[in-house]
Amino acid sequence: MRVEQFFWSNAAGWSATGGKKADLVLYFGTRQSLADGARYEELRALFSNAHIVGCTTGGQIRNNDVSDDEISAVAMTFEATTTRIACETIADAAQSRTCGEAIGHQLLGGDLAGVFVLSDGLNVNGSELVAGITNIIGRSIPLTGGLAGDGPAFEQTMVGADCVPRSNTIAAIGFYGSAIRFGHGSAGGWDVFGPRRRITRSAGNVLFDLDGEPALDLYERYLGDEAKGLPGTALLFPLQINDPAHPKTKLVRTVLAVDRDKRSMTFAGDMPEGWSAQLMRGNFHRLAAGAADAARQAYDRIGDAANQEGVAVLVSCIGRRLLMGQRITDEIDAAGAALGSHMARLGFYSYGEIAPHSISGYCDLHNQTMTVTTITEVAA
Amino acid sequence: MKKLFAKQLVKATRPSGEVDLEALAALVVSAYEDADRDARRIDRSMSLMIEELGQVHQRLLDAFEAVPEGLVMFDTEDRYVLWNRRYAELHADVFDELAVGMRFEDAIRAAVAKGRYPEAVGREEEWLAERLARHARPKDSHEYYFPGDRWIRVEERRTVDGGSIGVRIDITEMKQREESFRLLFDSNPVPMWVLDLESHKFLAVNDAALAHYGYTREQFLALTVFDIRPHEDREKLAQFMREGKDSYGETIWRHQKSNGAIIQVYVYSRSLKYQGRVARLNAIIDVTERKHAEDDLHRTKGFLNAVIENVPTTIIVKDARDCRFALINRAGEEFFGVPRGEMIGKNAYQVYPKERAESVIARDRQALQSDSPLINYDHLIYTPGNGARTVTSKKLAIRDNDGEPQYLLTVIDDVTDRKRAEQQIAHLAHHDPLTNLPNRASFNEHFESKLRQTEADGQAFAVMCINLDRFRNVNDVFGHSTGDRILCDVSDRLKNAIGKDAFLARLGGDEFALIAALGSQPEAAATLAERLLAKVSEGFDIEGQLLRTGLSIGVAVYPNDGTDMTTLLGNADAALHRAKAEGRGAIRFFEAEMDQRLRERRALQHDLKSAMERNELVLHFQPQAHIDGMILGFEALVRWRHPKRGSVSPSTFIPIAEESELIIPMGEWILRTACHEAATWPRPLQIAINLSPIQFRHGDLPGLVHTILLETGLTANRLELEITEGALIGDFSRAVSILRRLKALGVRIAMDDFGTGYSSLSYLQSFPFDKIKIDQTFISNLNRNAQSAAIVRAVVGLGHGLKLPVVAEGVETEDQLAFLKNEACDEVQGFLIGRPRPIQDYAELVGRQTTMTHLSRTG
Repeated sequence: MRVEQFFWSNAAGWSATGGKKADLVLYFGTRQSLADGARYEELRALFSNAHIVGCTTGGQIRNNDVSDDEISAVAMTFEATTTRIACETIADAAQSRTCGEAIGHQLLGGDLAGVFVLSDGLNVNGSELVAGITNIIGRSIPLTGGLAGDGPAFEQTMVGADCVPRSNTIAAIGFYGSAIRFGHGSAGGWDVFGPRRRITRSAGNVLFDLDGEPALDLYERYLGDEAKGLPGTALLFPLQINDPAHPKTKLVRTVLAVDRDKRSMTFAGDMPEGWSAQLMRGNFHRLAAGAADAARQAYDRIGDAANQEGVAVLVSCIGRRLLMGQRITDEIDAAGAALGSHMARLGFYSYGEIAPHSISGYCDLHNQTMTVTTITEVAA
Repeated sequence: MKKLFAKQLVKATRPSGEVDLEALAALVVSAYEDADRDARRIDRSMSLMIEELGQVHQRLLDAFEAVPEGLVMFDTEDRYVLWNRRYAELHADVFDELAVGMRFEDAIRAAVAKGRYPEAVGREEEWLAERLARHARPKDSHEYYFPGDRWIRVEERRTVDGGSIGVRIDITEMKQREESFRLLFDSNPVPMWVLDLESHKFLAVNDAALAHYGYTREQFLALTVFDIRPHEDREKLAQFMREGKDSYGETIWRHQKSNGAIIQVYVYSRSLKYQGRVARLNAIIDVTERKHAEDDLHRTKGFLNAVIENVPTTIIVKDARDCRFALINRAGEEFFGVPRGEMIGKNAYQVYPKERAESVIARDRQALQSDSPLINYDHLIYTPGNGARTVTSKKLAIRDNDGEPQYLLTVIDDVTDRKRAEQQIAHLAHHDPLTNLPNRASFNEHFESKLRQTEADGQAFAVMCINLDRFRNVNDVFGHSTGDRILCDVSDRLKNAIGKDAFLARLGGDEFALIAALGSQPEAAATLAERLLAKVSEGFDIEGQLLRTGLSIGVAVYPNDGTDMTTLLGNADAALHRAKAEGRGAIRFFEAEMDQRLRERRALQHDLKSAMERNELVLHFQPQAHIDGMILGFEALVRWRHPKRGSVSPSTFIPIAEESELIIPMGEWILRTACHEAATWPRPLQIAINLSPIQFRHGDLPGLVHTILLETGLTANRLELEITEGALIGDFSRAVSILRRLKALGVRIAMDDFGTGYSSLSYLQSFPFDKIKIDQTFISNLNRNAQSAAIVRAVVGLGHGLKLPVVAEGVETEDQLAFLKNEACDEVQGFLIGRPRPIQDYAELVGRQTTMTHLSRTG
């Protein structure tokens, strides 16, 4: 496998030389830089035979840097691995599971080794999407990826696979063959605090009440003057939720939208009634340690291909970036240290991360985590 | 921070290597602002969290207060930190005051000093030391008796931080319950125990159990529950214990007392905790006696059920409340003719049509209200399956102890068949079973009633005695079944002919009698009799063969021929005899002289009985000769010398003897006397003796003949027995058998009266007769009609053909003798040869000296 990492800047344009051999190109940029489709067309011109897949973000990761201006990209040329693209357009979040199943059907094949998915970040119920795909491909095939972002704006997210990025799009890449090594890791690093509360009223991923009190009231009280930054600022206090019947499996949820009239909050995944919920807060050091942990998990999973040239895709939550500000580079540094020097690192700040759970192994939608996907091939 | 600043510096450095100070300042300010926001955020969330923790704390306190038990917390130095209201209440009479920071020991010591702990009174220091020691333990539980007659359980536990938390529970009520239980248990008259479910040992046993099982308490408590069972029941118990169910006396168990006696018990058990062990409280009800009684009752009930089920009388039990069928026995099922299942539980309306149901229910109600059984004789009941039945029913209300009717018992005796049989018997008593005509008894009754009626109205009536002519011959020839059929046919014809006013009865055999009203026309009797005669003379078709028989009728008329039954019937009978005597097939009205004749005949019959005893019977002998005149022997002929009437003709008294079977002793006398006589003759002449057909039907004739031959010493070949066709009619094979046995004795057999019967020729074929005797009527008619000569000629020819000698009887003239000689007849007998005379008159012929005869006569 050969890897060419490159980027685009307004001043210098694409740093890549391009070529006909590349099989897959991943690219991540802000909505402003990708929306007009020009960047995709340029990439298509550079990599005529490659699948070109990308999405809008809440900030791009390139090696040890986080940038809001550049477009971070990588081109992969496989020796023994094939890839296949599946792409679905979704009109309504209620169709998330159906879309997931459609993607699963398109990708399902005898030697499918892993799936990386990029999805619209605002119009999709990520939990349902993951459940739909997993229903078809099964739990033994690793599934990773993330929901596209729109900085702190939460207005429009876009995804494109072999086409100009668009809203309401879900794209997935299937990796096939015995040579591919598809590693993954996921970790948060947030601390719960305050009393344990109960979800007393919700509908799907819309949360109304905690302990009989509107959830939005609680957030406004904790955010103080930052409440005017909702829904983005709600990311500063994610919610850890868990099914009382399975107390060990804990999920973190971030807010996608708020409705001040209905006093409701829309989260990136389901908020089942009866589950318990507890506020979380971040500590810079612990968040950075979490990122390192995720990177370590992903790196450990590639095993016999650890010394090979490869790509690590880092999908981290926009909430982490909002909290840490400039110190966000702490987590990038920590993850990079855990991955080793021959891994090209790129990624983005998302509205939701997709990866198998580190303990249960069940793939799910996560929030407020750093998830790392490692892609390499064993030596021929 | 250093690392961050290095990055900021890199970012602010232009490609030229020049540092953009403005940009660097912006980055630094921004980083500060980030940190400031984060600090403010932390402050805010901490204060909010504290606030929320305060609320949580309050909620905990609220919960603390809401707990129904007393709660208390002490710090590491056992000072009061927190207690709830309940704790304060429980200790209101113990501690005068409680305050945060007060030492537990001080509080309790003050209370002990004031005598607040009843248990501590008198041993205060000791008690206090124990109490504090308990309080110091990591975990402790104990009970105290508190002022106000209360019991408090104390649960204490040291906390991880070295403090202590305590719970106080008011267990007064539980203690009272325990005490009540103890009282109930110990003094309960029902044997009870508490059983440890693990060790199966008894944890507690009450006095009643000790008394009942005969163990001391120590012995009992050393036993397991298996020890009080017979060995063979222990596995069953183990199985039951494994199931671990409570029992509610559903099973009878066998227990064994200390003396080995087995008792049967019901066990009621409940699981409970006893002294901290999983246990079971058992109460034992000894049902040994009751069980015996129940078994007896069960057996008795079974026995009664079997009786009720099997008695042949219908038994029904109805529920007194709604008169629904509650029980029907097997006989009842047969009586109603439907399965009982279709009737049980139903009321009369569901079984009978409405009207019948109403009458049934009315009777049931009447019986239920009555104190005595309601008996209904010979009434009709309509059954669902067997139609109407005649029954005698008895209904009886069965009452409870309060006298309220519970059930209605109905016993039904179905007399339908008996009634029918009674009617049948009554009919049979008055009717002849063969012809279904009224019998003699019925006739007599009718006769009496007719006489009474006639006394009133003076109307004449006729009495007829009717006989079938020669009916005995019909029976003999065609058998009794044919005879019976003819009797039935005759009855029918007579019945049809007589009309409504006449009364016909069969008195027996072929005797019928009839009573017919004559009204004002006495000649109507003759008309009726003739009509009867005509009806019967038409003949009968018996299996395709036309059989003719006639009637003889004797008539007597009231009042001319008598005014009482005996006279009238006797006179009609006399007329009948006259009719028969005068050639049968005739009607004779009674005349006075008939009566005389009949009386004479009866007198003769009477006299004949004593004739032999009085030696009034004598034998005469008529010689039989070869056609050329040589005397061959004699035929013995009986004569009756009546002391008043003189000589009575055999043709008169032999039929009378045969009718009354006097012929049997008479025949034997003749045989013996004749043989004895012949045996004395010097010349060995043959002796011929007539046998009556009656003799063939009674006793052992060949045996008698043999005996007489031995007695008299007469040589068998000198004896010739003469029989008529009558001997062979009837049981032919028996008759032939007798003849063969007689012949085997060496005796000769002659066929007498040949030519007068029906089937003489066939008899000749079936038995080897030794001689044929032509009836004297043919001989006497020889010179009067040619047919007789032809018959005699034919018979002689026949005899010669069969190589049988032929004897002609009744030869009286020389012409006749000449004719017979001419026809080569072998032997003759008749007045021409010699009349029947006493043997003395033929002494010479038999070879006796005449003089000697005379001498003997005179001497």
